[in-house]
Amino acid sequence: MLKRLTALAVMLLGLLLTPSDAQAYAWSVNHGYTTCASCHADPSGGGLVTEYGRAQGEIFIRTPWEERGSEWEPGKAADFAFGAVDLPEWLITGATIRGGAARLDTPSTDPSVFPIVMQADLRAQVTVGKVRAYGSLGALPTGSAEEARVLRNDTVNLYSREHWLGVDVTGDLVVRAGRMALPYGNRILEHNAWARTSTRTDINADQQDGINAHYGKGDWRAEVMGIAGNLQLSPAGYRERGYSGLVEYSIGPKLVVGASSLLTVAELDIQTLDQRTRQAHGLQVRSSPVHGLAILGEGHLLVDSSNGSAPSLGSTGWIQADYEIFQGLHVAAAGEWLQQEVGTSLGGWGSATWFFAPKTDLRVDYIHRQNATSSGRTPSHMVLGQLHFSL
Amino acid sequence: MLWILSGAALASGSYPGVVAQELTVDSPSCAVCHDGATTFGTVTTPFGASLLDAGLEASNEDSLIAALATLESEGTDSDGDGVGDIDELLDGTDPNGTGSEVEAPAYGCVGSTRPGGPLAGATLLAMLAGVLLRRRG
Amino acid sequence: MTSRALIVSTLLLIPSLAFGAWNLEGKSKITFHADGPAGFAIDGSSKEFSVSETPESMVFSVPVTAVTTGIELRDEHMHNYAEAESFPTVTLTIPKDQLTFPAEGQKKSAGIAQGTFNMHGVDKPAKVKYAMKAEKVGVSWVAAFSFNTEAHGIVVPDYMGVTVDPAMSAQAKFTTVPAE
Repeated sequence: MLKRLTALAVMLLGLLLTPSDAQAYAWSVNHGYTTCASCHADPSGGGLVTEYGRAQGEIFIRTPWEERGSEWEPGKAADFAFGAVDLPEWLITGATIRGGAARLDTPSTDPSVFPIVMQADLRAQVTVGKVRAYGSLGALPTGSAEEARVLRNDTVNLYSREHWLGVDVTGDLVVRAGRMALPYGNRILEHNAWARTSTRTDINADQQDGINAHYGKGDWRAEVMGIAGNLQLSPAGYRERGYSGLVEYSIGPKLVVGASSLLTVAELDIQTLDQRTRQAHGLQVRSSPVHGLAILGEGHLLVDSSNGSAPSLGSTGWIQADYEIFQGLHVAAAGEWLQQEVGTSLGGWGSATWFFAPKTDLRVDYIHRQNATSSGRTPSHMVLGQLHFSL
Repeated sequence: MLWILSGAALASGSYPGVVAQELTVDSPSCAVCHDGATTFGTVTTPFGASLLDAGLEASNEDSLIAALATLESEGTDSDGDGVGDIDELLDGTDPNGTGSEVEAPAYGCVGSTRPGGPLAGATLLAMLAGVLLRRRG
Repeated sequence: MTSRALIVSTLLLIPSLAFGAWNLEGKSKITFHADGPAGFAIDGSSKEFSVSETPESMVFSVPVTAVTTGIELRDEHMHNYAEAESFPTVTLTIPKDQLTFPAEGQKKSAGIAQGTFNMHGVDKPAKVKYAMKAEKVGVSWVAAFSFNTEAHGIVVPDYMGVTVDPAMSAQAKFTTVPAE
């Protein structure tokens, strides 16, 4: 029985390691970026990068190989398609590909290595006055990013993680309607961290449709979203309705604390096939206590009830230390937990990422998890390598 | 870059998609194999167990395809309702017998290019691509 | 309390105020904060800072090129916007009669002083909120004031569509001791 469970759990791990929406570098707090709106079209980060964000990619993210005198500027390396296409001011766009290979190892299965295509996305935003239209479109292997799929037939599997219309009501307030990532916790790149998957707030494919308001002014930032469900999922009874939101305060240029809250109700939960109410409430922090080091942490209470039964309580959390050895090379260690009725699962991550060329990075992860089962904890090991390139 | 794209056909972290492709159905719900949350230790459904018994291995799509074929050839009926598992998947019912009346979840448009709805984003992107190409011309 | 009385009490407490130079002791922390759109913020600091005195005023100075924000290119842009070559120093001048030093027997004092902030070669009035604490030797200060770079003739910074609000604030923490 244990072998069966382990084998299927490995399948699940594989699923969780499929596509990833990239470019959500919460460790930028180390460079004094406590918010994301200047670098990303989505004010909470992730996804399409603005012209300013592209420039920052050259300025402080990638390893500088060239001499950078006082006259140095990012130049065409930061432009879309390296400047081959001259974009009008009203349009920002980008394409990104992320792929690699993973090796899984568990006590009951032979180690296996398999390739993964995580991203093959085109994203764009058109701005007309105060109105913005944002969309992403990608093609992936069948079975990947199912939740974001818009079309599948025998030859193609198209998906759109995000598409929304927004209005910049003021310079501080943006109201959007459409499909977008939920405002909850730290928007980390490790989308399969338990803190993301157990709250269904990862930036891979957990986006939902709804109406979202983001306010950022001075040291405060708040975002709330009324969730209408994933409209790409049918029948409608599977869709979750509710809210998700966060509020954050920058205590200083390198310390942000925040709180998040989420509640959703589905007539028929996609996992349990029951009427289900999910709640998550927690705290998050991003800080850089010393130069080069970024600490990202969050902890959440999980409240789950099905068919009106008494709620069961759980919790999850993630804490990561990211150290930039020299500009462009990051090493990180992270710990995580997921406490559910079956027990408490524990995980540890070791990662290295090198932004070694313009718009290009190489990342290697080692993930060890002690997965709670009814018969105790079972270990799993994964090594994941990936190459990420964007235009 | 080509090797990354060509790797798409070999990706094994996509078992629901493999089922969908093999049977030409929508990707099945997580609940077909998982009882409760899709986390470690919850694969306890009768259908999931049948797949394992039929030789399913981790990260091995061929084993999944073979296991599905085995279930089909043997007419495995995990929930004992008189309809084989594969037939239930083809019919869009639950091979675990807990919700045969429940329509299976589906994402996006399958096998068609139905206008509107979820394709709005795709349409937007196609328009933008057109603008870009025109500028280059 | 008249300004004369203020000066007298100050002189009693800190003899070096008799037009002598002040030395800074320990670490000084000179910072500024600027906001951009949607919560975007720039926080800068200077490792260089000096305090001097004229018969009428206290003068606090920071070299423009010593102000950094943690990103070199942004610093370069900032120094260019401030035309650091032509206007190498920013100064805050506060008349002594605007300052209340800790009175004899008191450890602390605080107030709001009307000073003059010079940046980019342009003088503008500055309302400085300050607090002082008498140390064994010297005085520790905490001060803050707001300024507007546009009012000082500096164009609003704009880098690739991201602008910086010209309304900014500055803070200072330092300890002064009598010069030898």
